[in-house]
Parts: sequence; structure tokens; C-alpha cells
Amino acid sequence: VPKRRRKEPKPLRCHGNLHVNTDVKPAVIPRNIKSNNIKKLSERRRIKLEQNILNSREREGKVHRKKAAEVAKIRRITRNKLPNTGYDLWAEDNVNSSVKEVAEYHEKYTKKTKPKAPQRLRAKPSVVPAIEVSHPGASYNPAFDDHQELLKIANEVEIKKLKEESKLEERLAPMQKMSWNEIEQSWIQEMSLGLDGEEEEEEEDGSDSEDADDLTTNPPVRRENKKTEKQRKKEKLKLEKEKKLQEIKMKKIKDSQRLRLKSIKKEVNEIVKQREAKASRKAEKRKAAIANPKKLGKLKFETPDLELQLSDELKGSLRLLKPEGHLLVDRFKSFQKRNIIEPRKRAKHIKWTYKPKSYEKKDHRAIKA
Amino acid sequence: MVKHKKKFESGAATAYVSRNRALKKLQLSLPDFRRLCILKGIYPHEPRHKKKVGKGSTAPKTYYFYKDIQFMAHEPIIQKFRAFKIFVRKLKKALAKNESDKAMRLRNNKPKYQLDHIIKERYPTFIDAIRDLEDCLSMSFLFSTFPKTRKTHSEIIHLCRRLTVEFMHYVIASKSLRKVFISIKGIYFQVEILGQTITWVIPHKYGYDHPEDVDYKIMATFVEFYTTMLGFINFKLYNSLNLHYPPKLSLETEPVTSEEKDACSEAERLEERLAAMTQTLKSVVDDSQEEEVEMDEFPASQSDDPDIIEQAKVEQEKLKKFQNLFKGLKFFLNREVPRETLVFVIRSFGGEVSWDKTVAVGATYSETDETITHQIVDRPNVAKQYLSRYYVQPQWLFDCVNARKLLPVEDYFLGAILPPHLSPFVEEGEDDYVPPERLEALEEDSGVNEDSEEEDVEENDNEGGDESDEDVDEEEEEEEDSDVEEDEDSEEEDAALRKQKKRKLHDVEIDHMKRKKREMKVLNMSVEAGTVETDDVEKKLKKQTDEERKLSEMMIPKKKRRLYNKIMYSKKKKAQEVNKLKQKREAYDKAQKAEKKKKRKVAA
Repeated sequence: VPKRRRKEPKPLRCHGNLHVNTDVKPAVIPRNIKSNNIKKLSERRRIKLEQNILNSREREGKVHRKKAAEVAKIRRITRNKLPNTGYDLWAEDNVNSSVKEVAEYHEKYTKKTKPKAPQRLRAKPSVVPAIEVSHPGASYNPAFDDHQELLKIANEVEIKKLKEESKLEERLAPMQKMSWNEIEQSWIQEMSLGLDGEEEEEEEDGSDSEDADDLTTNPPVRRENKKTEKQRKKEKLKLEKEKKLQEIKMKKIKDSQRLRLKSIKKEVNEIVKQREAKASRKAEKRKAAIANPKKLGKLKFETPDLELQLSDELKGSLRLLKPEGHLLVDRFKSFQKRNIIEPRKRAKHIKWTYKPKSYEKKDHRAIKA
Repeated sequence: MVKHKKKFESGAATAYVSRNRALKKLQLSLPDFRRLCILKGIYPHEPRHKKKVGKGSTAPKTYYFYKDIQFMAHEPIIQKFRAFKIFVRKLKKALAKNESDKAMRLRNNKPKYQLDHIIKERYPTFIDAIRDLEDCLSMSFLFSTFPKTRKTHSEIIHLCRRLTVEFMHYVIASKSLRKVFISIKGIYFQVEILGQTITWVIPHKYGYDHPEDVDYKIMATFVEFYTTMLGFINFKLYNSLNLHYPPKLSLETEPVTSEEKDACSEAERLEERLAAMTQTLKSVVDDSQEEEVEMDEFPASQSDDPDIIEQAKVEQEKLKKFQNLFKGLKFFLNREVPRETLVFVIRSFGGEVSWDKTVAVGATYSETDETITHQIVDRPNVAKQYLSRYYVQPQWLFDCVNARKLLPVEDYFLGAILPPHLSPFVEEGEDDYVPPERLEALEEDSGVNEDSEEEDVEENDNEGGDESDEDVDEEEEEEEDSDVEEDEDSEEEDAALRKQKKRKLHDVEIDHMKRKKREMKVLNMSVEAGTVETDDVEKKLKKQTDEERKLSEMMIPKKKRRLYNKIMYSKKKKAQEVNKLKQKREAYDKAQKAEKKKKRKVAA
């Protein structure tokens, strides 16, 4: 194993002060010529020398430029995320790099034929059209009737919402608070119930209570009441007899059913009919719900508010038009409605900070005198 | 012994897979998985029996079909995703270590993926792709208006802009625009490409506000896919019209000054001029003589009805006329109107258009040009007006397109209260309510009120006549409705009284005239032989059909009668509703009229 070379240690920061501290680079002067020498040179030679210097600079520049261009080109190519769409994708003899790449990948890794796409990939996940054109009442300069119709629709939606809200509020309403006066009054009312005295009521009450006693408590079991062997046998026989009789009766009914075939058929038909009706009702319901968004995750799809402008907001001029709603939201909701993406809620960023515990130090406890 | 069948080993439980399991199977992170699903067009599915699928648990989860996930596992892009993950890790490390060279090298070798094969896979034929263009266009148009932010990269925005401009150029060149509707939400366009109607929506050009509850990452993924798709579609569409792709302009315009040269690069300038959409595109074929494409004639024996061919021909003729709706018209746009939309609409129907040079690049002629026929204005008044042109509001253009003919400009003049902008996307059913404005348009289309034209001519003549000619004025009053009444109100009482007296006289006269007219009409009719009788026949026919209907109603079995009654009831209800709406409308119109009167009185 070759020995790992150690990295040259970086110069210490404290030595930085010793370095030359200038960004100005020294002018390039050929080493072999000194300034005072140039003057001494002949005119021709001087011009040539200067030319040389210039040429060298130009050459250098050229090289630099070339390098920079190359770098820029690479950058352009690599940074450019834009897809190349300058060929006919659907042509018969299309041998495209990407398609080829796919084939190669497959051959190399799977050694199998290309996987077939599932059939349902062609089918759209919903019957809802991609673009649902707004209601004619949402025109920037709508006809009166159209606008009224839109307002009516929006109103219905709003009323439905309000109803639901009020229902919820009723359920969640806190207990009513009563004043002392009211409490006292209700107490008196409760306590004085029946004091005004209608005897009938009392009687009824009494009988009620007796009944209740009867229901709740069984008669006491006593030794004298115990059944004898004879009694038990008798009961048993009686039960058996009854059972037999019942069996005979059932058999008779069954026998007679043979004669009742027609009516039985009718009954069966009735049942079948009912079932069919139920099935068709179910199918209808399913059919009606075909355009409804499915529940694809935890959250249900929420229909966005209708975009509308009230009569006084409508200006009737394109210049004064104030747009309603945002198309990005509209598109996003449309994707959700068409079951393409599932509705999600943005995760709230919760900063986890523990609440510091507070202690009361003994020393600082208030001392009672 | 029969083998015991275990639970959840077949059926729904194995057909579906939850998202988490799918992630594990594909070894991808959730964002990558979501991106891949969008690119591949694989969507979650709601199972019918959650308990079976969830193996006993009904917890709300996102499910995918297992076969879909298996199919996705074969996608080579997954490798690129993994490579990208490593790339990010290396880059982070290099940056943290302050190794700029290494970072640069890494950046230059950033892994990229192509979507070509996915597009081919999802849309095996070109027409499939065209059918799915609605989303693609809407998203591209939307993103092209976005500002550059951390979430919306400038490259994507720029690409969207370029592609949408290219597409609009195609629509202009192929003259395939059919409908436009301006709603408060955005502007809807409908085009017909290769027999497919495609609708898309673009936002109004106003200040951008940033909606909070939208996942930008997801939308950006959609756009990534759609831009690639639109690029291929544009290429193919341009090829079908023999146009250069990327597009080239047919004319080289005025030489560029040095100042302009400094302002932007050559490519940018070309792009700006392309986006102006005032010039036609260069064709691949040098001699751009447009051939008149004639419809193929099929021998009549093949089709059942020779009328069908005739009808198709008429239809074709109509369409051609519609496509050249604005041909020969020269428009000038004031600076306050939405330029791009209007240019797109005007150019799609063969019109010429320009604007003030200082507004944007690409103006072709100036306001002083005397050959301009229409100037589109959206302000109450204009200081300097030319007599040689109409000053109309932008709605005129859209309404013309939707009505498929040039509407009279009078209603759309400068500062006029515009007639309502109706949606062209509404198709009324049999007994639906149709607003009066729409009704008028429909009637005109079908040529119902041909005889009303005569009256119109008369009216126009009357208007041309002197005001002192009161007889004529009176007649006008009879025939027209609102305007004249207002005139009457504004006059003094005495005059009104006098007029009333005169009116009585004139009424007699008018009656007389009307009778004459009727006689004339009858005379006219009599030449065509027996119109009176035809009326009778109709009556008889109606009576007969009514009777027949009643009889057939009686014959309906009890079972079906109920359904029949239901249908009739719903029809009746609908008619009632329509009546209600009509009454409402009448009341509203009356109120409007009254208000107008009041205003005029106040003004007087």
C-alpha cells in the first residue's frame, strides 16, 4: 500500500500580514529589457519589440477568451434545463437518444422485453373536463339574467354553508348560565310539583310505585313452594306433548304449501323485485356520483368558492375590470377535482421548544408570620 | 384436506398498495415519488372496500394500483432521481468545504433527465397528445405570466413564454380560433386543431398576487412535463403548415440602431418581435402561393343524401368566411387595451394590427396612417380623432368573433354603454331560458326576421329625413320603442298636448297606412299563391296532431304513464321558471328605461 502523502499545511493566518497586500498586478515587462535600455535601442528594433509585446498580449487574450467561451458553452449546455424538442417524436423512424437509452437500460438490467403499460393508463381518472368554462354570469359584462342566475347559485351555496355552520354551533353551544333569581324560581317550581294536590295523580303515582316494586323484586323463594317430583314429570310430559303437536302442525303447513305454490312464487318474485330495485337505486347513485371527486387521502376535496362580482362591482369595461380569483388556484383545484392529485394540507412548521419548568425555591417562599 | 384460505392474500388486498409501501418498493423519497407519478400519469385510486384493502384497518390512506407501481419501477428516470440525490449530497459537501472548483465541476455534470419517451408512452399518437392539450396550454400560459421567484425559475417561465407564443403563431397561421370569452377569472379561448376542439384559459394581465395554499412544487412538475409536450406538439404543428421551427419571421424590419443593439441581444430582439405577433412566419416552401384547398368531391352514389354534400360545402364556405372575418381591416390599438389578446384575436381572423411605437416592439404602422379602419379604444374620450376610422371598444372584436360576423359598430362606439358580453360556450337546450340578446343573435343567424329588415330600412330613411316632418316622426314613434318616447318627455307640455291631438289624427292616418301596407302584403302574397290556405292546413294539422297526442296519451299503460307524467311535470316546471325569468327581465328593462327617462329629464 502506497503511503498516503500528507497535505501541505496551509500558511498560517498570522503570517498573512507578511504577504504583499495588493491586488494590483505588476506590469508585464520582459525581463531582459530594462526601461533605460529601450531608449537606447534603434527605432526599428524598438517598434518591433513593442509589437511583440502587444502580440503576446493579444495571443494571451485569445487563449483566455477561447477558454472562457468553452467554459461558458459547457455551462450553457449543462445548466440549460430546457428539453430538446426539435424533432418529430411521433415519426415512424424516430430513433431518439432518450428512447434508445430506455431500450439499452432495459436490455442491460432486465434482459426482458419492455414492460407493457397497464391498460388503465390511457383512461382518464375522472369524467370532469380539464377546463370548466365559467358560468356566463361571470362574464366581465354579463347579461342581466345570466348574472342573476349566477348570484342565485352562489346564494344557494352560501345558505347551505350557513345552515351547516349554525347546526354545528347549536351542538357546541355552552350551557346556559342562569342568574340566582332564575335558579331559585326553578327550584321552587320543581319542589312544589304536585303540592297543589290532585288526588288522582297521587293515586296514580302510588300504583306506579307498587308496579315498580313488583318488577324489581321477585317473590321470595320458600321451601314450601318447592315443586315435587311428580309435578316436574307432569310438566315435562306436557312440554313434550306440546312440542309434538307443534311438529305435526308444521308438517301440515309444509304439506299444504305444495298447494300454495303459486302464492309462494308471488312472494319470491316480490323479494327479487325489491332486491333489483335496491340494486338499481344503488347503481343510479353511483352513476350520479361519477363526477364527484374521490376521497384519495385523509382529506376530502373542498370545492372552491364561486368567482363572482356583485352588481356594483361590475364595471362593464375591460379597462376597469378587476379580476376575481387566481388561475393557479383554479388549476390546482381542478387537478384535485379530477382525482389527479390528492388534496393535502400544508404541513405547519412547528418549532419544538420545551416550556421551561419553573421551580419555587424554598428560600424564597413567602414566610408566614 | 382442503388448504385453508388465508385472509388478505388475494383480491382487493393485493390489487392495491398504500403509498408508503409504494415508496418503500421504489426506494424513493415522497417528493420524488410524487414527481414521478405526475410525469408518468399515474394517479391514486380510491378502493371500494377500504377494509379489505387496508387488511382490516379503515384508516384513510392513499392507495395506488400495485400493477401501476410495478410498471413505474421499470422507469429509467428513477435512476436519474437517485443520481440527483447523490449529486446534491456531493455538492453540499463541496460547498461546505469551500471547494469551489469541485462544486463547479459537479454543477457542470449535473444529472438531467429527458421526458421524450414518457410522452411517447403516454400519447402513442399525435392526436392523443392534441386531445390532452387543454391542461398543457392553460398551465403554460399561466406560468408564462409569473414573476421569477425562488419557486418559479426564470428558465421555466421563459420557456413557457416562448412555447405559448409559438403556439399562438400556429393558431394565427392556421386560422383555427373559434371562440373567445372574457370572464372575470380569465380569458377563455377555443380553437379547432385537427378536428379537436381545445379550450384553454389565460389570466388577465394585472399585478401578480401569490396564492398561499398551492403546492408550487407539484405545479412546477406539471409544467415541466407540459412544456416538453408542447414543444413536440409545436414542432409537429409547424411542420404540418410547412413553417420553420423554431419560427422565423418573413420580413426583416427596420435596421437596428446602436442604442437598441446595446439594450438587448439579437436573440432577445427576435423573441420580442415574435411575441408581437404582427408578422407572418416564414414558410419552408419558398413560393408561398397559398393553394386553394378544395373539398374532396365524393360521388353522390356513396352517400345516402346528396344534400349532405351540399350542406358540407355550405358549411365549409361559412367557415372560410368566418376565418377571414377581419380581412382587409386595419386596426390600431390604444395603449390602454390588453394588447396581446387583441392582437391574437385580430390576427387569427386575418386583420392587420399595430400600436404606438413606444408601447412595445413590433408596431408596424403609426396612428397617423389614414388607411386604418378601426381604432380600439377603452377610455371615455379621445382628444384627437380621425374621421376615416371607427373608434370602438375592445368588446366589439370578441363579440364579432362569437357572433361569427361583423356586428354593427354603433353599439360599441367610444364611451357607449356596451351590450352584454355573452358566453359563446352556452348551448341552450330545447326549453331553456334564452336571454333576449342571445335570441336576437340566434334569429339573425337563422334568417328568421327577413321582413324586419325592410322595416329597418324604412326607419333609417325616416331618421335621415327632416325633423320638421312630424308625420314621419310619429310613425317612428309607433314602431320604435324607447328613444322616441324619451324625446317626447323632454318636450314641453304644450307641445305634448298639441302632439296628442295630432296623434289622434295621425293614428287614423297610420291605421290607414298600415291597412294599405297589409293589403300590399296580401297582394304580394297572392302572387305566390295560396298562403292563406297553408295557414288553414297548419291549423288543421295542429288540431290533428293534438288529437293524436291525446289519444296516444290515453293509450299509455299505467306503468309508463307515471313516467310520462313526471316528464311533463318537469317540462311544465321548466317553462314556469323560464316565464319567471322573462318577467323578471321585462321588469328590469322597464326599470332601466324609467331610469334613463329620469336622467334625461334631469339633464333637460
